[in-house]
Amino acid sequence: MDLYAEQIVDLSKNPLNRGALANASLAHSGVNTTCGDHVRLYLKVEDGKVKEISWEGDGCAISIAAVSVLTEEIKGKKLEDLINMKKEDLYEWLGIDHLGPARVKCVTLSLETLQGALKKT
Amino acid sequence: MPLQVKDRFPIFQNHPDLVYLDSAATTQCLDDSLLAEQTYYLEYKANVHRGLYPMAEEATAHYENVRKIARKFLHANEGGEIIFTRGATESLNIVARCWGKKFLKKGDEIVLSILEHHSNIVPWQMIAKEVGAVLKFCPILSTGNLNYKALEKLVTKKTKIISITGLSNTLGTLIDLPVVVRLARKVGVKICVDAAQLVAHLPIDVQKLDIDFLAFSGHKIYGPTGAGVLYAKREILEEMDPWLGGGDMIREVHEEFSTWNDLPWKFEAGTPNIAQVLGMGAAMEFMMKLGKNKLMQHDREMQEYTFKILNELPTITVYGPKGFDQQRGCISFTVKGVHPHDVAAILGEQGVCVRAGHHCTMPLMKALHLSSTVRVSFGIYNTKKDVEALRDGLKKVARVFKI
Repeated sequence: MDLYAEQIVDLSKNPLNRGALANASLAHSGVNTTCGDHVRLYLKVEDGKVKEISWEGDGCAISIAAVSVLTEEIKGKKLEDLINMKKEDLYEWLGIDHLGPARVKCVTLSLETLQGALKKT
Repeated sequence: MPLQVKDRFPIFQNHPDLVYLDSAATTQCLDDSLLAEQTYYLEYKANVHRGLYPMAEEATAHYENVRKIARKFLHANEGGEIIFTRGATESLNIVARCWGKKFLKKGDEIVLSILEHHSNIVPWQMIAKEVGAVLKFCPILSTGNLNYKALEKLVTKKTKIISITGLSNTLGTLIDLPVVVRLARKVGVKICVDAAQLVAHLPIDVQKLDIDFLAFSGHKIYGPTGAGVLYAKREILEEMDPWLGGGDMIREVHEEFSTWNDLPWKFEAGTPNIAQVLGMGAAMEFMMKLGKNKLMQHDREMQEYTFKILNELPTITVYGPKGFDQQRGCISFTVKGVHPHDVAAILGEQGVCVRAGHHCTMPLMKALHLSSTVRVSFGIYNTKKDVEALRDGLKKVARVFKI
């Protein structure tokens, strides 16, 4: 499997939803201590749904692509539907079927940060 | 001329296409080292310093012979000054714990450099916190060389020890040890050298250099993992209390108290990593046979060729000093617009093994305003072909990321 498929490379070069959200109702940070990747998620929640979402941070192509698709996919979704999101959902959105132990955290950082944010609600 | 030693490393027979450029992390294992380990297990496995039967005596003799080899390898005065440990990290922890605990007091200062590996920072932080001592970090210049003028100012009456690397594992910066030792002697402080990288690239004479403590690992000089050395002057070791208590490190044990064994065994509690020490012995003999000139010639060739190739690639920034008198062993760089982890992963897919990350030098990374770099590092088995594979791999990185 080619990890660096067109979609991942393109997303890493042109990330989606990057930047702070001035009127966020929820924000949460996550860091991958082993490699230094870090992300801060901003959510604007209305009627129990993700009205707006963005992120700031830095990391490898996989983690940038992952946070891009994550923020894109959950727009408009109900918070209660996000609690059970799994890393496999992100794999599907990224078009990959497996990651080795060294790279799993690149994908799960944004997911864990989102789940940390949801716990605050 | 390449060194023609590749066939002495069995891993390359199992993986003929392996391009291994991560020797600063661990070197591949020499055939003689593997044989020494295996022979012990197959021919004469017995505990050392214990049994009175011939096989136990044989095991002890071989084990103690490695101490003689290590004494010669470091040009130490005597075997009592050679302590076998699990590696450089354990050696440095013994210095901080056993010497630091006894001799450091509140307000005392420990001088390190910003180039240090975490293993020469964290043990000092731990002991400093315990006794109320303070850590001071000597900065580097923009070239990546140590700022010796700043070091001179940092070492004061409050300083008790300078603990410094001999060769940076991230930038390849070579430290002018005679200058640092002279400064230590002028002020009357102890000097500890983390030689984990240095021993693989330059022979060391601890007496000539007048070093108080020195640490290295066997697995970074073509031996197995799990064995290393702490060198320290006898008079210093005599004053230090032991670290681990247990078998072998005692002379007498009573219900109420114990007395300590002679040097070096006072610091070697429990059954040591016998096979690994034997493997390390074979590696040190190999290094001595190879000699300074061949080591240096090979390092120079690798360094110059890699610099040349990296300079030809437009998107690459190289960090650290550039001249061979100031730098060797490894080269750190970044590729514009591509995260180091992605560079290393794509190189890995091409069979080129390099390291990406902070290389266990987070304070240095902060000083360089970087989160991580790609690092290539050299062993005596590397050839120009390996560097060419790196070049081809980096071209693939550029293609994948369209740069």
